[in-house]
Amino acid sequence: MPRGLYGLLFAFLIVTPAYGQISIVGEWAGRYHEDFDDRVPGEVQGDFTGVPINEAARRYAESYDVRRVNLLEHQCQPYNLPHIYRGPLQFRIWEEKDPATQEVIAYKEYIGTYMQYRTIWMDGRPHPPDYAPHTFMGFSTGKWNGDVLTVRTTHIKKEFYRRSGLPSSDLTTVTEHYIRHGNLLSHVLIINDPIYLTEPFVDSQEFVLMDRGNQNWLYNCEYLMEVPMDKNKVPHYLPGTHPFISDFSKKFGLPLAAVWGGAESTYPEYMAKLNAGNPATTLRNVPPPPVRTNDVRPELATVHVQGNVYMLVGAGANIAVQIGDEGVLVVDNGAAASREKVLAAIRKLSTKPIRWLINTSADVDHTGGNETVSQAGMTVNGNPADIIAHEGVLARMTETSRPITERPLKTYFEDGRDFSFNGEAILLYHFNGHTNGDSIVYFRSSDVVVTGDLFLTTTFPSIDLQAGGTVDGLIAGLNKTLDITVPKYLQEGGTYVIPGHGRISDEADVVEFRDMVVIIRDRIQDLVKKGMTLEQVKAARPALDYEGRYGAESGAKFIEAVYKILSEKK
Amino acid sequence: MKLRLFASVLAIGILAAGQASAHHSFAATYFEDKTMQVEGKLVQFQFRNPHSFIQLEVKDESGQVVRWSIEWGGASQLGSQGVTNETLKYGDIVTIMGNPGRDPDDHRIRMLSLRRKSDNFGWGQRPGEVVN
Repeated sequence: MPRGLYGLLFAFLIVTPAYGQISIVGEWAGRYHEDFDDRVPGEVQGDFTGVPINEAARRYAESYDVRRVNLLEHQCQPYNLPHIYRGPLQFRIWEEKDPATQEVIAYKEYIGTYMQYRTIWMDGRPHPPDYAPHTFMGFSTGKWNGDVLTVRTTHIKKEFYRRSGLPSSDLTTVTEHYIRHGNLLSHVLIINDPIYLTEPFVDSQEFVLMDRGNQNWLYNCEYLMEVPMDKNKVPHYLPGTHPFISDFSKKFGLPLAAVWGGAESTYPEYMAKLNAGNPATTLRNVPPPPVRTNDVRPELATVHVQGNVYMLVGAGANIAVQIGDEGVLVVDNGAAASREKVLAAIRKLSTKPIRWLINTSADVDHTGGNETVSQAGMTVNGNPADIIAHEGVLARMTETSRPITERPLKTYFEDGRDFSFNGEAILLYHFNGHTNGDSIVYFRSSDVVVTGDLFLTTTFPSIDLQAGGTVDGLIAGLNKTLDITVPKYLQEGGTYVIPGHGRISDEADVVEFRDMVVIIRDRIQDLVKKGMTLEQVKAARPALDYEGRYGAESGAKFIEAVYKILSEKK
Repeated sequence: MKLRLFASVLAIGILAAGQASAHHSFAATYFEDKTMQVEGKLVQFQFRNPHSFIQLEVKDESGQVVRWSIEWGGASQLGSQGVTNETLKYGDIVTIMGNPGRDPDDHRIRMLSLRRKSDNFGWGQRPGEVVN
């Protein structure tokens, strides 16, 4: 080979880059050549085909009234991750690179419909703990497998698989595969939902790289009263009364049993059953994952919620700690067994004096540290830190012979009270919900609500009848929480809510819980009116669609409490 | 080239309309095989996403004033058709034809066409003027 050619070859080898990862960067537009009616304009009611639903999902969907989207808290809810790619959308993908190494540390996505931002972390970081907030897009990490980007997402908010009302739970996890062929992007979703699906639900859609700019990237949503309605009335149908549930099956001439068929109806073998005139299938229920209840952990975790407010997790019930120049305020303090750990965790947050404790109820898993934490604190007069609660708490603690040093001595009997501490207004609102001494605490500048056991993300609510709890008071407390909360952006963030047990939440989480309580209450009310006994009501399974999520044991207690209240009212 | 341009325009159209319809299914909310007409005084024009709404005060057969809620396209969709938040005003007398809501007690309609009495301004006759 002539020497000149060697030089040319050498130069070529220096400047030619090594082949890197295939790029998925760009602006991608959806193609709706399949399932168009479902994905774009929406179908008539009753399309439940092709989804491996279980009994709980069926009950939920049978009860779903599409007018629920008219409620203020539902209007601006985006589709969640398992759903959003099915709808009309375009999205943009770009890379975030480590400036020192130029390695991709994340893929960022902006999805025009509902203006959702996603981050797919590529740097191996772990997913957040269970008590971290959920979002509609969830938390994602990714990995390249050859030229396929595989993404795993957790911490997704509850939403739907279909607008017909097929629910997707907040315990759903999603695996995605992004596969590029030229200017086409195939996107495959594998959805695992232990609450509403019997097996993985696989969806796929195609996107095309846009070679012309598209200006339609904005979707500012504003919630307001669209159709005059009681803002706290939850539209739903009592079991067996949905007037439009057969619309889809009638429109397409399908047996209703096939439309409800679940996983069995999605396999080719089902055609034989259909042709034989035997479309019935069995909707399985698989055991749901265990639901964390008392939440006592070997080590406490401390989480900054927002503003001056932190949450301590793992001492029994959740604990809120507000810190600032004036001192420390603590809402609830966990179970007695964890009191020293709680004190140590508070001391790590601030060494200023603990001035105030607030009890949201008299429950021992919320107030076990009253004496320890109060005695470790100090009012400006040199006494132990004051414990504030509704007088119902003091009454309960007196009745149950709690030591005097554990009892709140600053009680109130009116609808609420307020005061200022650490430069922000702190408002207490009283409800007879979980007990007759409940308080909701609102940190106005930090924009954090602490609900006590009026709101949970772990179990059904507990109505302590002996302690004067009522279902109407529970609902009123949840509605008040919804009045206070203001989401920052499309039903996410903004006002954060610390539940009695469970993860940091926001308005979207509270509204799902409120809707659930109202729906079950209404169902039991209907059965009570029909004269049913408690056993008959239990047999009707008024909480079937929620038991997998919140637990059958707490569900049974909740049904019993609501039944007793409503049958006494009759 | 013409086919690609057409596909792009179609996609944009689907997206503009679809962003509104992504919110909920019209077929599930309204009787799409029925139409009805109301005439009344416009008392509110909610120009926004996910759907714009017009609130009308309409006299029923007994002379009682009933509030009707008319669902229209999202602001993104209508904006691309030249509709702004000033297009309709409080006090306008308008006639609306549309699909009735599935529950008659809701007094709601999905817009098919609108005509304003004072200047004959209309919507729903030109291509693309659909709420979908």
